[in-house]
Amino acid sequence: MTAFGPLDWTIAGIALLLTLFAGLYVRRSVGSLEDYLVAHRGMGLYVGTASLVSTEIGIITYAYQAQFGFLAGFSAFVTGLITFVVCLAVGSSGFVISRLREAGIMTVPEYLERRYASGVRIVAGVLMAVGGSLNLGIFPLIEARFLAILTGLDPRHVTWVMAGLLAVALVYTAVGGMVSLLLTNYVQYVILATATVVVTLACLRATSWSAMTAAVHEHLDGRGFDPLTDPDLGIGFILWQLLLWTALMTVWQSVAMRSFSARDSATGRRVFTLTSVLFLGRAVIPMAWGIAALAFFSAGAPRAPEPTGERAAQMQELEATLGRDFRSHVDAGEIGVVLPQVERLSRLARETGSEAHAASARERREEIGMVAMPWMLARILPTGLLGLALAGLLAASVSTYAGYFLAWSAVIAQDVVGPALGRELDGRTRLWLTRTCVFGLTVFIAVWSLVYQVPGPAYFYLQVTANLFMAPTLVTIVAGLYWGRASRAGAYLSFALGAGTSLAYLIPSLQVGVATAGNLSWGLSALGMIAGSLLSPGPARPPSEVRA
Amino acid sequence: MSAQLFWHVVFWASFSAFTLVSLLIAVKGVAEIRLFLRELRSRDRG
Repeated sequence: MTAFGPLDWTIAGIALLLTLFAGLYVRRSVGSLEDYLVAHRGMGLYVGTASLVSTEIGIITYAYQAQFGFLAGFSAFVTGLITFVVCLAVGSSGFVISRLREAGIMTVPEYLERRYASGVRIVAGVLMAVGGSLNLGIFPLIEARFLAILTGLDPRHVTWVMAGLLAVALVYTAVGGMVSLLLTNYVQYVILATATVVVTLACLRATSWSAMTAAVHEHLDGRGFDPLTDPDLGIGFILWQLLLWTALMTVWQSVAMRSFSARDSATGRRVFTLTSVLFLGRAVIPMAWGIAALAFFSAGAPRAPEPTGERAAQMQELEATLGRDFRSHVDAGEIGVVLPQVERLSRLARETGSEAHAASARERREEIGMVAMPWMLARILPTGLLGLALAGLLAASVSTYAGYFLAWSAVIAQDVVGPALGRELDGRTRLWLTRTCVFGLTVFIAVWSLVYQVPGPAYFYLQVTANLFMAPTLVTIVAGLYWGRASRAGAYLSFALGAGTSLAYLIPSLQVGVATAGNLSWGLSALGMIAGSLLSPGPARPPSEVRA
Repeated sequence: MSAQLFWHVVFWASFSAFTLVSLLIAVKGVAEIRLFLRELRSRDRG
């Protein structure tokens, strides 16, 4: 199935050891909490960009972007364009990030305490801790499956590989914090970028652009080129993405920590400007891999005889066949066998208006979309290149775990546990507390990834868990920075409405669509802030007084 | 411009830009890492 061999393990192992060495090399340079969380604010442009991008690219990024490309074709690229535009705009204007950098804070909720009240900081901290941890919690789950396919390892053994990756990230993050991250992220970025370029060229060699275009034409039922008319995307989705990415670029803790770590706010802005180009590639490149996988497996699909008889009977027969063989075919990488069956089921369901069969076909297609790209890589990459690809993927994965461990642990320690204790902690205790939270979060992630099943496309799960706190956090931060009348009551109401609406998506009986929940949470967060501030002006420090 | 051509241009622009900026980071980042480490060492001594 895969040509993965000892040479590949050696390449990947050396890359991982190099990362660990780099992470531990600077461990003695961490003396204070400021060193630990924001690297003594000494981050430069290129290392900062590498750190930001490598943290925000993990195996899971490649997996869900490829799944999105497989399901939505070229229309998926629109999210890459949105990311590019938003990141460039934030970098050019310094919107939010410059003022937060000048405030001299180390976590995003810290600003909310200075501007509103310590209660708002705790509310934001709790939502971030829950949403961020749940978001991170499915990373190992999806990544383990990806690695099992690429390496040919037994899934039981891959669990140990994932545990090893978490341990590597834990060791150098707990010891060296942001100082270690900056150094390791640079090494990891070089490895993952090299692997990304090589894998892209291999995909294009295996399929060709014209084959990809033809596959989208033939296999996505007329979708795949126009995101505005795509029933799963559309203008509502695009609007939601614009808002979500604005929040991700400004108040997502792991991203914001990079601007807090910059030498000055001008460097922070330049990091975002340079990152915009890389974030475009971060979306578009793996999405193209997903489309290449669609073309690759469509071309190799055996021609099955067209069933005859009533369409209802055909659907029953297809359901029975898929129910019996789908799992074993997918696990064996026989995507070319099951894809035509799922497509036929989908077509018949559409023709007959059967929602149950349409949902079944859709679910199976989503599952195929999650594994098609790694199965393609396992087939097309020779020994040596598989090792390079794995080294890049592991670098991406470890850098993401490390960055997120530090980001969410900082929030849990500084914005939830610290304030909840009700007394001022000295720097040494806060540093110890943050390190303890890094350890605790690692254990939680390891356990959660073993017990949880992702509902629907991973892309949506990730965005909804993020949206739990993104909308109210951005609304309260923007209002705090730019609107003098923003009040404590407005901030509380914004969090209550914004988070409540996002939760509606996770309750199946409410049947709230992902884009609807996303957009509603933004609208209601803003409404809550405006209404609360106007009805109860209350005490809040004006923006001009909230400085370092 | 057709949608097909548009996405073709978007892909190649993304891929080229990703490759070039990554190369720039790989080269320029070395000097920045050295400076960062030098600053850390001098601060540790001080």
